[in-house]
Amino acid sequence: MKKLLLVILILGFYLIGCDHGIAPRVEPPRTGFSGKITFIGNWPNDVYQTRVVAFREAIKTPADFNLLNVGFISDTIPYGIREFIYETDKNPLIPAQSSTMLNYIVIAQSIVPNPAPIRSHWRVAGIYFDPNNTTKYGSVKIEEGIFKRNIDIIVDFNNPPAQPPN
Amino acid sequence: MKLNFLLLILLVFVINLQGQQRRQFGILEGIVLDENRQPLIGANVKVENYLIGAATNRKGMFKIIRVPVGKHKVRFSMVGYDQKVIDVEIKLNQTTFVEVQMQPVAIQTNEIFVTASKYEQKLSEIPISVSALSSQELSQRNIKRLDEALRLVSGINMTSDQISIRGSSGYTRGAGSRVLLLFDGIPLYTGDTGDIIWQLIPIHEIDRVEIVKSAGSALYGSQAIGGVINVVSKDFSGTSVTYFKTLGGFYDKPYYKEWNWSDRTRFFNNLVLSHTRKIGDAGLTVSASRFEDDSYKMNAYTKRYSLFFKSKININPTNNIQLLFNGTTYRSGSYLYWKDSRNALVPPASQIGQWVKTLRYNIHLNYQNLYSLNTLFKFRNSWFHNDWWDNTESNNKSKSEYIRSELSVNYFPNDMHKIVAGIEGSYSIVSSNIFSNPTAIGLALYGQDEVRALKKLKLTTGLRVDYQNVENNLTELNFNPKIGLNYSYNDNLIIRTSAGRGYRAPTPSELFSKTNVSGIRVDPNPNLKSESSWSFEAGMNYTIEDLLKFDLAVFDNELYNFIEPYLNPEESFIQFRNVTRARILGSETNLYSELFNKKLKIDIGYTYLHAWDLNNNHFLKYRPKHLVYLSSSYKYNFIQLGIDFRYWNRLEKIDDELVKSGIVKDGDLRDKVFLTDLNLAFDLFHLKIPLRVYFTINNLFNYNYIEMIGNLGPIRSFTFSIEGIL
Repeated sequence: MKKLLLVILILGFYLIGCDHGIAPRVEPPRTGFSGKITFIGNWPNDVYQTRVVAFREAIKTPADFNLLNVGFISDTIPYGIREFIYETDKNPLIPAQSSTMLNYIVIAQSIVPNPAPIRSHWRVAGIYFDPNNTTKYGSVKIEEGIFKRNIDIIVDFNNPPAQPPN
Repeated sequence: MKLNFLLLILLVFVINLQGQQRRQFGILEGIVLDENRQPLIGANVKVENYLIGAATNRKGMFKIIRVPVGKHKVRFSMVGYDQKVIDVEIKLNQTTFVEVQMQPVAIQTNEIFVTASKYEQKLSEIPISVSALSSQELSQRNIKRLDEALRLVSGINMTSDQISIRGSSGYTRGAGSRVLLLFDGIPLYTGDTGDIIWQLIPIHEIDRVEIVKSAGSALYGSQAIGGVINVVSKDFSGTSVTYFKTLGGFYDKPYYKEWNWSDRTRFFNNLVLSHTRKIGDAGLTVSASRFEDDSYKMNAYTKRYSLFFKSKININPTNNIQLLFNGTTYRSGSYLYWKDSRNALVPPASQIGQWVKTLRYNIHLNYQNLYSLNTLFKFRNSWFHNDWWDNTESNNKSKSEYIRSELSVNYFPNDMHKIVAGIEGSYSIVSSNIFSNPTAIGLALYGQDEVRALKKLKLTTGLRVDYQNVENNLTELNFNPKIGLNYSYNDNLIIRTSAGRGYRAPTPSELFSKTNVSGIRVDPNPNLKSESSWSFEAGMNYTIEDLLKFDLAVFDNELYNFIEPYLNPEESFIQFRNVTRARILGSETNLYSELFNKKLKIDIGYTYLHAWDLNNNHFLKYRPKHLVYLSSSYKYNFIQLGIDFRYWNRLEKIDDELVKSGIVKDGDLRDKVFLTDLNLAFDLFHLKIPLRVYFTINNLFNYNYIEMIGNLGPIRSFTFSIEGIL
């Protein structure tokens, strides 16, 4: 009886000891995009947060400023900085998802201390325009395993862009 | 209301003093020893047919003053030991000394529990499933927080720090518990979030932990919807004891190199000092402890200081007052979830540097009056102060006070009836920048009668009515009845069945939370209603003397209006709502056996759960389908080697929305779980050295698993501790 129990114990230990549960996944190729943000002029005093926010569709009504329409929100950009390189796969608040078309990529600045994702808490300070036609908003499609660069945005505090409704 | 309480107590006190003058008493004193003639700590001593008793101290001593003159049967009981009943004769104004030696046996049919009915009951009298943990079991496993020990109880699974008994709970951060935690019978949860604060429980002061695995709302009200855990603290006796414990350990390297985020070894340590003495008619315990944990995860450290004070003053042999203070302050890093599976022990950069600081304490002031030998009054008051603040962007902070009073009576008029009844009142006030500043008032009436309908059949019926008012406009009335049957077919076979209603009132955090989490707005919902359940259970317990004990239970929990966080992506907010109707069907099987002259003990538990969300037609989150527990120990002289093994299947469902939204990268990563812990104990009391030495290896095979999304469970760690008595 003792021997049998010992054998069962050793066998059990062996079987359990072979398995180590979950393992790190292989790092997938980078997905997303990056770019340089250039700030021109003096930063306003009433800014609490600055982030890159990418919407699936342009903001036509205040209601379009909602989480369903948001495709990416970056970490905060330090106040007063002149240049900033952002990468969508580095510390995002809301990561960019594959197969998403982003048609309105902006630099959004909050004008309240603890902002929520609602239109009245944010101001658009800069917009990504189509490099081939700077009168049109630029678009970026997030494709699995592809990392796009040079999605650059200029923020000119002396010449702010047109604001979405409300 | 308070005035009425006081008048009633005064009346009882005066009547009782008159009654006492007519009676004649003596003192019963003694020592309880184990099979090796070493002192047994925490053994219960009870004078049969009366409501008087005591527990042994750390030297195994006890003292019961005011025992009626005459011949009595005195019962000695303790988890893990065979019950013993001896005949004692008490003489007028004399001390009768007894020495009792108890034999270890876990195959018991008559362990004693106080939680199921608010008075002492034998296991064979309880119509619902119960379990217990002894202080020895906690020490032997180097338990640092109570939830670590509860993970080893059959039918219980933890998701991070939230407890689930037989699938009662999933995980909702900071939004209340569906299991009620009691400390010496008094509820212990915060006034704002309704959370259980495991850090507040002083492990070294625990005598035993009782677990009721079914809805207990018919006696305990809200939060007991999924079960009750009662931490019973050590009682006083006549001698002075100084106790110390020092514990230290470290975490091993993670199994995968890419998870190794720190160059240095991650340590943890715990130091406890406790002193108990008797001053006149008062018993006094003071203890202090310090705990520090570097953690195996980045930014998940803890540093904690705790203070415990308990005093019991015997005004006279039938009246006593107990004062208890239990407080802790700590600072811990914030770790919500991993960065990704390649950085499984590192949080996202946004969480690094975040911390939470807390100051929490509870004060109990209890008065107990043995009005007659079959009538016991208890007047229990408690105050729980909870204060925490963090350094997140929102600078969240919350302070809450929870004040509670309860007057109860245990009345055993004859051999046929055991009655318990009581009235409760509570008041809570919250001051917070996320839960607003609500106040809540609760009132409750309860009663229960255990009737010995036939010689072998016991019928228990009870009802509790709870009234709750929040912010002067949200009013609810809840009726929670229960019925239970217990039939002892013979000395070996006990059959039980029960049905009862449970409920949980929404906490202020669920009603009034207003904050931002990861950019998502959390909105209040003052229209939230209580969630409720109907629990049905049938079970049997079969014992073959000196060989095995077998327990089987089947259960059905019907859950209504379950409160869950509801995400509205269009309007970008989260709100707690009554969204789910669920059903949890299952069974629990436990087998305990002792072999080789009782040196080898084996305890096996299996729980099957079918926890189904009937509205959305899927498995409930964080509920495993299969839970297996295996615990075994072998004792040779003063050395004991033990092993604990746990298995649960891959969780069917977790917070999938956090994975889909990309908030928790690789959050879908999970697997079946095999966990093995080893413990080795040296009881040097056998060699006349007042020390015990414990060595444990937790997660022996360094198995990588998750209990909660994006949170790797503790990796292999080594712990060494010494406890002693001066």
